[in-house]
Amino acid sequence: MINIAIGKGTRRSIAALLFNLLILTLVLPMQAQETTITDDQVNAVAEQLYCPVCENIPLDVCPTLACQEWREEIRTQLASGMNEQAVINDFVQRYGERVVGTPQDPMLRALSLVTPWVLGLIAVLAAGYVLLRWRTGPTNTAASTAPQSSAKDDDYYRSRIEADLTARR
Amino acid sequence: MLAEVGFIALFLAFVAAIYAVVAAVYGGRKHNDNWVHSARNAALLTLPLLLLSSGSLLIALINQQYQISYVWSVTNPNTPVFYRITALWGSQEGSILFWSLLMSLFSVGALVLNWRPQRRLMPWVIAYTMATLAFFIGLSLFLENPFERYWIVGNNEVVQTALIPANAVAPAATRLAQTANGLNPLLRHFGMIIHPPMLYLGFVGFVIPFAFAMAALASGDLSTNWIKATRRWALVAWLFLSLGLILGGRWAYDVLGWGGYWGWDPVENAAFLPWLIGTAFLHSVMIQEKRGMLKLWNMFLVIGTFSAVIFGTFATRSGLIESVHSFARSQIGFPMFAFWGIITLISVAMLLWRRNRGELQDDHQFANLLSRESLFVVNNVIFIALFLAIFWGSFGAPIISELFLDVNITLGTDYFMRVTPPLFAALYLLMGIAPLSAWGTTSLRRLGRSLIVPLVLTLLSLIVFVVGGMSDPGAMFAYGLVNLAGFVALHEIWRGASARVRTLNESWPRAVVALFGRNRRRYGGYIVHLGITIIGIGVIGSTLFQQETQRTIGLGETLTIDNYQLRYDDFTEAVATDGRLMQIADVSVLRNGQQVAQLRPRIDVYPQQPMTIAGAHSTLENDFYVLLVGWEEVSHSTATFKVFINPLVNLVWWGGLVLILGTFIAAWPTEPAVLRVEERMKNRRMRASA
Repeated sequence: MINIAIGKGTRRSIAALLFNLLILTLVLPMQAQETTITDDQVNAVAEQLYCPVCENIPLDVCPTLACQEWREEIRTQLASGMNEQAVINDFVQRYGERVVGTPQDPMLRALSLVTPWVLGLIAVLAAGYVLLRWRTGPTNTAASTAPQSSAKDDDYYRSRIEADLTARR
Repeated sequence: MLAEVGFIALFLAFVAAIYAVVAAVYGGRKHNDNWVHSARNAALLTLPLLLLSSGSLLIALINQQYQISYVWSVTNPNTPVFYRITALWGSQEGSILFWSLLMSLFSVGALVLNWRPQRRLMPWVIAYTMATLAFFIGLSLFLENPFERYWIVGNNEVVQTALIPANAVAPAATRLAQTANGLNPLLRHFGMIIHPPMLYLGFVGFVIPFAFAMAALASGDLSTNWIKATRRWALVAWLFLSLGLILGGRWAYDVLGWGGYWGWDPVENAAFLPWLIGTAFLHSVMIQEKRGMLKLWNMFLVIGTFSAVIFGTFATRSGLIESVHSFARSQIGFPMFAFWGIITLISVAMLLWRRNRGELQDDHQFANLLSRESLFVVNNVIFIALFLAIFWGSFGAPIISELFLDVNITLGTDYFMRVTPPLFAALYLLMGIAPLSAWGTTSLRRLGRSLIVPLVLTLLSLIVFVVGGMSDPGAMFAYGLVNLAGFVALHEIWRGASARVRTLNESWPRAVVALFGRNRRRYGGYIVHLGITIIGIGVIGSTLFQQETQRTIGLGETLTIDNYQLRYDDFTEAVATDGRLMQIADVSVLRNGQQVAQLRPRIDVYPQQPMTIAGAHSTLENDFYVLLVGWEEVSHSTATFKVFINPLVNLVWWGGLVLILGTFIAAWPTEPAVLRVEERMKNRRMRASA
């Protein structure tokens, strides 16, 4: 069941609210120039992080107000003397492993990065095995590659061929 | 009225598809021609019924029938007619109906074109295609019905239902029009208008090779018949899927406002996964055709491609992995998962059954490691390794860590840039070597001789790069591999044409045309390789050499990046005809002090969300790409810009066009369809006169 009783006035209010949030979002960078940390330095850290709320959106490009505030927080942390890794570790500690593109936890990191290579190695070994078997194993004869069919099938297709030939004549 | 017509036609299409499955299976098992014919007719009937159903929805969209909830949710009175049409696939319900229509179109095409030559496979082809179609129509009918309407019942309560409730009255049309949503702003872009249909065509296209493969397993006709029948279908599906991926990249580049075209988002990857296995299949299938080998593997690949298509659709629409594509989340997750699991299990079980009966043995032995079939096997291994790595990063690791370790993780660009480059490098290397090896056996000396000219050309190209200022060894290595693949393709075309010029005394243009005409598949394939090479050059350039900066500057001030300057000239506000508010910065782009472009990066404010629209100065050399990030609120005296220089990025799109051209050449029928029709008519006339 859907309630569609959202009036035009309400929609205008929502639009106005969104617009104000946007303006606030866009104006924030203006205020951020007071520290010596440049936008590029902030983005260099933010692009290694993902928005803790939105899904799969890097923090440096996420347009929401929350992300703008997180970017300002990065600026403040960098200005206070924290290095890039310390800022990243702080975000991971507060928001979990999902805010980084590769987990920081050693076990999860190993699981994430080693598994594809293990899978790849298995694929290579399987291919090697197939190639070796291919070289030494038995192959099909022409007779055995012919489609297997039962006598019932043969009768059916024979009758079809006869019918087609009769139709052509 | 339109809703009733669309709904009834959809229901009848569902019944027809179910009937076609039952009749085809019964007819196929009992060898009863009448039932098989009846199944075919029912399958053919699905197309006009789905055309009627989709047409009804389209007319409702164009005529602003806001009582239909789908129309209300994706359009409003300000929506231009063009976007009303594209709104047909603008949200979940419409896109599933559209998917069903395309699926029916492909199925009918496959039935009509293969009815006579592949008669033995047909009952099972009908059964598999119609079972898939019935599932998607069922989703439309029972879970995501695009013909549901708003009704006012009882105590002024508004309900949304496809069937008219008792004592219900329709809401006032003007009220519905005032409150209608409008199309998602992200979808108002040329790339996004064509991108979904292309992807759907690619996805449903791969159902046809799958259905033929399953028909081969079910009927026991395990010769190359199913491959011959489906090679072009697979190529066409691959073409559409490639187009869908490229257009999706272009849309992301223009609309998402982050300066790139591929973000390794799980939903992007979900469309890329079937492409990877499908590409492996297109290569591997040649080995079966030429040498009678890899029969089991080809079946596995075609099942894998179909399975990846259904899984990708499931992942995109179920909210399995959240992403920017989350507009398509809904309640259809479990049914899709069940369908994916069941169809994959049945397919694998049938494959193993035939294998255990010894019916999928190879005809020839593998001769040596440098033969073309061996190199194609290696190519397949790399494609599968890429598939596994991307699947793991997009779905495997996040799902496993959440299920078993209770930890949410994201594997992002960082992960993919660590894992995939060596695999892509190996693919380019093989793309350079494999076309030069021969079927059966090749000596190292012969292969080496064939490689001399492309290698020399590659070295020369690298020298040009070094002279041009490139010094990054990683980039040199990557360009070496990519250029080698391109030069091999060009050299092979040149060798073939020059042989014709020498022996037949033809002019060069005529020789090239004749060469392509005589072996479209081979030389079309070289053009595809050339397209992939051009894309590779673009990807390396725009990834390794991208520059970016973000600065706040005042009116009349400039920011500098490389040898470019951006000058902030003015700021304007405007309201577009569709009601959105546009905040526009006027900027000038200067290169070495000379003005080269004037750009207008802007922010569009829709009721649903703001959108960042980049300004870009594009040349073959690079894109100067500007985003408006912020501005001083009252006087607009300062503004913040994020600027990217994306070297060679346009080669990604140009390479895509070359790839399309090559696929067209490879897929073009050798015998013109007109001649076939003429021959058929002649036969009919002869029969009639007899």
